[in-house]
Amino acid sequence: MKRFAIGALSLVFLLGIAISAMAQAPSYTQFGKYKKEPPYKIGFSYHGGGIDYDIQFDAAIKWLANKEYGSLISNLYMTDAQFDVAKQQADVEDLIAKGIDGLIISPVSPSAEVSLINSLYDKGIPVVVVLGEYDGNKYTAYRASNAQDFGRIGAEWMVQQLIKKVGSPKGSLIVLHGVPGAAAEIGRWDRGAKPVFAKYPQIKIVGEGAGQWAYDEGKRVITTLLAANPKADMIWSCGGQMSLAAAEVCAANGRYDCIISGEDYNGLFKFWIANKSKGFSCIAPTFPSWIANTGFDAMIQVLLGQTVQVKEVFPPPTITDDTVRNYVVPSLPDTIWVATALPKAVLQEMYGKK
Amino acid sequence: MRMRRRWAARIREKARKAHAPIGLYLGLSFVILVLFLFLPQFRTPLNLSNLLLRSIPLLAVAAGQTFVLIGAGIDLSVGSVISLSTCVASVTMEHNLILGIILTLASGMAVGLANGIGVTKLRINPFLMTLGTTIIVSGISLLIRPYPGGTIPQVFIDFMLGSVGGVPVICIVFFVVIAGVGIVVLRKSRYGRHLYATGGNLDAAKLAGVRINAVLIASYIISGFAAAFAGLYMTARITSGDPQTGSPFQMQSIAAAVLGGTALTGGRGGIFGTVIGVVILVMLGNVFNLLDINLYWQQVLRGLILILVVGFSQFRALTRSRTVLGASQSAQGTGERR
Repeated sequence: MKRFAIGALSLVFLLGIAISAMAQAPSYTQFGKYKKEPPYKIGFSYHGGGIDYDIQFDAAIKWLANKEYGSLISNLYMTDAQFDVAKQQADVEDLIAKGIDGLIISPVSPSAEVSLINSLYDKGIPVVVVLGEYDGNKYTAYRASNAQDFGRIGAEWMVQQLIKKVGSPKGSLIVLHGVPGAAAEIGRWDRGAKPVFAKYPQIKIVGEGAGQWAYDEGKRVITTLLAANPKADMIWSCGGQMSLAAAEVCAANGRYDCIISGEDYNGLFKFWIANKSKGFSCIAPTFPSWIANTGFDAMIQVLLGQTVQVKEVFPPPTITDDTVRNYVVPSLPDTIWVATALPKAVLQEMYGKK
Repeated sequence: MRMRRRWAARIREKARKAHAPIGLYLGLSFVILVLFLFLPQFRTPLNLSNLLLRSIPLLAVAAGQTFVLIGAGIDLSVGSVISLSTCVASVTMEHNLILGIILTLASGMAVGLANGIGVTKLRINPFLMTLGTTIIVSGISLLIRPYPGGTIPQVFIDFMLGSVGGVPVICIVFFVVIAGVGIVVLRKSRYGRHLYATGGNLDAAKLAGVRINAVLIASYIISGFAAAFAGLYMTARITSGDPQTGSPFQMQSIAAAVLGGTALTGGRGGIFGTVIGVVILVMLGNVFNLLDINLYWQQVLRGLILILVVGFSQFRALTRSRTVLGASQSAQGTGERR
């Protein structure tokens, strides 16, 4: 009886381990499910369009398609939704009408494209979702940077810096949003940084504004917010060029001690290094554009009939006080995003020597 | 021969009276014909069905905007009303579908009423009044739903986007109803005549006994209702509420109405022209994508087309008014000589 009980318990234990291992194991696409003969027509529906990051992103995808898969691709159609949900839906419909073999999409919003992507998936069209937050679960592959980690890492570092500065997690915070409602904004702030700050009730949000991820708008917003709260301890920025704008406004007010979160923007890195001796410190979680390239790789592989991991979410590589010098590119303009797949020679060609 | 001359005269007369330049209609017909012949992807049933599906929200909101523009106003709040509608729908529909629809439409009409009262009773410039409500309504949308989400009943989505054998039947019904009701109200109803009169000459309309305040408030309520309907449609398209989704419709609705011959100065225009404007705008985006035209060039071309069409329309109106002025002056001169 005792033996039987031990045997049964062991069996249950082993079964539990097996089930949990199965639950955690990454799932893979079905071998040969989307196999087609090359050359392929690939559609890429991008969420933004027109700002520095997007221009560099666009160039990186085209470079990859040409260099790595030139012989496999007959057409690469790229559309920019400009943060417009309706336009992205129209863009995707147009790409389908053009008879693409596969769709790569970086969604404007985590939820708005779910039904469209579901319907394409159900029709057997390979869909690879890349870059940002996405609430759906029907896709061929998903390759994204963890936007929540982006926000969380920056917020946690800021709280640590605050404790170092004043001895306790007590202080005032200004929040510089990107585009309210956008996928990256939701991931970074609502699901990433906000819950971290919420753990510390003595950290008070004294001002909030949306800088649209742009330098000029970010500067205008932060100038107003800092004028209203000149003693603010921290500025959490949703990234983009706004972080540089926030750092410059603080510096102009003699506030090198203001704790700011940033992103991998070359201009910010130059400012950071130049003002480190004055007490300026920052952190830069990155939103690497090379992640979209991994999505591109996944698309080509499934079209070739190979199997790929369905979901891969990369933790954002983070640049700190200690490593910023390794990433800055002094010979290139401020507008470069350093976490790119583009080789330096291509960047030089695009942006020219400063 | 005499018959042919009479027909030509009738066509010229129709063209002269038309709100939108007749050249625009002919040009559009020619472009569609060329696209049908030379761009195979354009004429596929899937593409045509997609065009119809995406034209509905713009048609609704541009039709509402046309009412306001004819009354010599402008409604910048339509985009934010669309966003608000998706947010209201996404938080109310899951509890009670019918109530959700009613509340959504009522919220749009309430914004329209506020705009109308601000413009007429408080004498605030329409541009500033509706800009103010845009900011307020955008804030309310973000308060209701800080980020996209919510649950939309499947029965509502199926109804709004319903198709039979691949043909978006409901969409066609919406298209015909919006255009038809708009045309009938503006052309055949007393309200339509009063709106044209108010937009054309406010003082004259007042002297003629038109209740200008009521007429103008009604135009803003119609615009709010139309934007809320567009919001409901977008809710079905994106199957969620989104506080940002309406922003692009603000300028597109004005562009569609103006492209169709509706004057920003009021008193002139109509829904038929707006339908043409919507078709042009929706088709442009589609064709640019099908031809793989770079986004930046798309923007340049869109702007150029807008300026060309509106410029042509203005030039035509100017030359017509000069002709009328010249004719009346020569008639006066003849009279004096007599």
